[in-house]
Amino acid sequence: MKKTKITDISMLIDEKNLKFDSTLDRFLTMEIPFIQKKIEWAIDTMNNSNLMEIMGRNSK
Amino acid sequence: MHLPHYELTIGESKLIFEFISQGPKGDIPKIIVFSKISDNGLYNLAFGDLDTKTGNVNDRVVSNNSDSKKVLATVVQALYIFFNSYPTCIVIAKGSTKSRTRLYRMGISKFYHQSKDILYITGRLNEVSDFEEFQLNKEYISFAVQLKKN
Repeated sequence: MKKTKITDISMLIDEKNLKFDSTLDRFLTMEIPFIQKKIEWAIDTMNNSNLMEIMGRNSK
Repeated sequence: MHLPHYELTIGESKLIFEFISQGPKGDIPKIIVFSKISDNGLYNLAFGDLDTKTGNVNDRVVSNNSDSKKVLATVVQALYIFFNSYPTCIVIAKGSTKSRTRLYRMGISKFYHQSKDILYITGRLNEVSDFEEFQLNKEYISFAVQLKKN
């Protein structure tokens, strides 16, 4: 099988298998305990690790 | 190029994704949420089962619906769609249980070769270690991903 070099993220998206529902965005304003826990973990990780520093080294 | 995955329903924000896992245990609604953590573009990826009656989400349940590869491919599709809309942002993720973290690790490893030319992936081996560039066969407990910069 011929390998296609991926040069853009849109090449990896299967547009045929997508549909939109704006009502889903209600979850963005809901206080869902498991998401709150993840947010707390993520804030702690951002503040107490080299995460932002290593992501700053990102280059092609 | 596209591995088998479920049809995704997407919120207008492109931060919420829903799909239905189908298997021997029946139809199980799943939800993927990208939550903004900071103004410098950091988002957390959360993934769990959605109770359509109550709206509650459970990320600790193990569905055992015999479709983990297809579920993983669907989560990865959501990640690609997120980055297509938020190209400068960083996504971090961690499983809520050891088995779910293993699932994330499997997913990243499986899609690593497909996406390594355009995704910058890092991992962390424990809660106090530094993040490092992702290497296959290392048992990372959390991950951070960003589109590669030119």
